[in-house]
Amino acid sequence: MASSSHLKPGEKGKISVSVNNNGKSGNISKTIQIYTNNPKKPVTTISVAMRVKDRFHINKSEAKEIFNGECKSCHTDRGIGKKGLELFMADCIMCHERGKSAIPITEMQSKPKEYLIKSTADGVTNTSMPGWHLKNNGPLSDEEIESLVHIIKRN
Amino acid sequence: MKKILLFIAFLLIPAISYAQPEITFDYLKFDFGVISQNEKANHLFEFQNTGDQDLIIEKVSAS
Repeated sequence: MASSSHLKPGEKGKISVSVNNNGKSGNISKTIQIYTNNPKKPVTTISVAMRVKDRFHINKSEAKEIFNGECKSCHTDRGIGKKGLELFMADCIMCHERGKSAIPITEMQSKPKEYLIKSTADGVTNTSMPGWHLKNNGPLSDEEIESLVHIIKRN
Repeated sequence: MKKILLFIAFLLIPAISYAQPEITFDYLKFDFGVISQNEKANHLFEFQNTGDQDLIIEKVSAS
């Protein structure tokens, strides 16, 4: 909404932009086109951006937090005692396929096996991938990590 | 006399072609950063008519 649609030279105006983010999550951007009577530049575009977090994730910043506290009930508890595809469906798929915060399976398949084992065990810096190995306070053993990499490469 | 008229005419050409309204924003992008669902995301963009004719905002559309 514009405060006034007719402005004299030098006059100032305001455009109010409001975004309804109810039920949305992740990165959202909106662009607004403003059409004026300037013959040389009839359209001016402004934009707003935001990253919407739901109430569970609003104060979370570090990837490894998923192993602790209230996070693990969704992120890792369901994978306990599982291996291979079952473990993948419990712990990995929520970010790697359903959520868009991590690379999809097809991209993982294009990486070497050794890379997949290392990045699962130790995490990937500057991404939301934490180190899952027990030595990094994660929930997974060598064997469990290998079972994941096995089904990723097989598919 | 003809030369002077011609000279004045040349001076007028740019003046006429540059007389136009112009919308100028302080900035074109605004980032709300991280916000939670149901948190109000409202922002006021301020602009000025920096041209030398009246500016008419004909339409505002969002996508």
